[in-house]
Amino acid sequence: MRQQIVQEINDLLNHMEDTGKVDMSILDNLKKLRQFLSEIKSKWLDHPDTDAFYFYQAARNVELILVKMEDRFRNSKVTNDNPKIAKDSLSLMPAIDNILTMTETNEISDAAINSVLAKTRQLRNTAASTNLIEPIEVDKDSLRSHFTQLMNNLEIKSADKYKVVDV
Amino acid sequence: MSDPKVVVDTDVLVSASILQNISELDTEIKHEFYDQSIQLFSLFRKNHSKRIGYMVPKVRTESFSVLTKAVKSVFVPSTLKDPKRKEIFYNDTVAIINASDHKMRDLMKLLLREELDEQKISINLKNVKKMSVYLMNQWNQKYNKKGWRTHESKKRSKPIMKERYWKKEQKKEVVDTYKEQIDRESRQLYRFQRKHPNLQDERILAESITLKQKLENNTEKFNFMIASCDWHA
Repeated sequence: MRQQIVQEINDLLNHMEDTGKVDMSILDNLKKLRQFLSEIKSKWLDHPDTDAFYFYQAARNVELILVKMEDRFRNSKVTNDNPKIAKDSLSLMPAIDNILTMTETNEISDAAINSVLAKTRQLRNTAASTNLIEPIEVDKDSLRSHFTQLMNNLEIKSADKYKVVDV
Repeated sequence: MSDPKVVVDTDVLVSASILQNISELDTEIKHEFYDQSIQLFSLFRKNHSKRIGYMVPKVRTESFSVLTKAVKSVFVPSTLKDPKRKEIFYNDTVAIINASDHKMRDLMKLLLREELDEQKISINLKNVKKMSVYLMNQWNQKYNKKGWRTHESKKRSKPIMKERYWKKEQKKEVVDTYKEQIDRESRQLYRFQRKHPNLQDERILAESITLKQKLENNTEKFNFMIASCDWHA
């Protein structure tokens, strides 16, 4: 299933690059890929080993990049992003496919963890150079809420090493 | 003497990127390395033309992995079972890692990179490993033994002990000073064998030596330093 979706996306992107025109039907294919990613993420959430997080993280990064990709396709006419968005997306597809292949397995080992982390880094590097990474200006309120929630849950306020005090 | 050169170790880069992120959220942060790491990058920023801060290839390739593992070790507890709660937790953790990764990319822009010859790195890596074995032997065969430490402090004080014109208390002071020196060396070696550098640490050191040798060919004399939070560094 994954191979078929990725192949369809690749074909559409190649066609867009050749013709220089954006085909909005790609949004359906990207949505299908995100649905497939949800299944992968659920599998790793159910895994009892905390090291499953590394594989969840890889899938989540692909998901965030796909959201950004969809946004750019949707706004491509307004922002004159046509056909650059097709070219940028195409350059990311091998890294996305690599991560999907790795996260489909169930194997957790030191080698698999190091490999998935290296692939995630590679994906984020390519995404950063093609403006397909999640926004740099992260919403401070939302980030603050992430930190506060995690730290409260873990009682990090009382730990010596990361003493965070509200001002 | 030209401006110093400082190679930044992965832990300094990672902790600075996490801490800078927290500090921008209008929270006051207290951390043992906060002031040092922020001041160091501030110095690189202000003196960019002086070419002070450097990054070796291993630090660049391992930093994302080290960042992820550091945040995960703090934020992902093994007690979390409910998938719904786990999903919120995991997404929050990914958001924090990604926000810190953005900061880390900005900090990396302040650091210079040099192409390094792989063959020269291999030669230096062999020497680093030899040095590591030598230091371990120093601990196991010498410094670990109390008798050796006492004998060594007497041996180092010998020329002064024989000197006729020195007062007794002056001689004692010299012996005590050498004893302290040996104790200090002993503590360093004890820490080294307890938290022995891993392959990545050895590689970073070998690359740093190779970088130093390369820079020595191009510039006049300079002080070369490694900025690290590691105990064995």
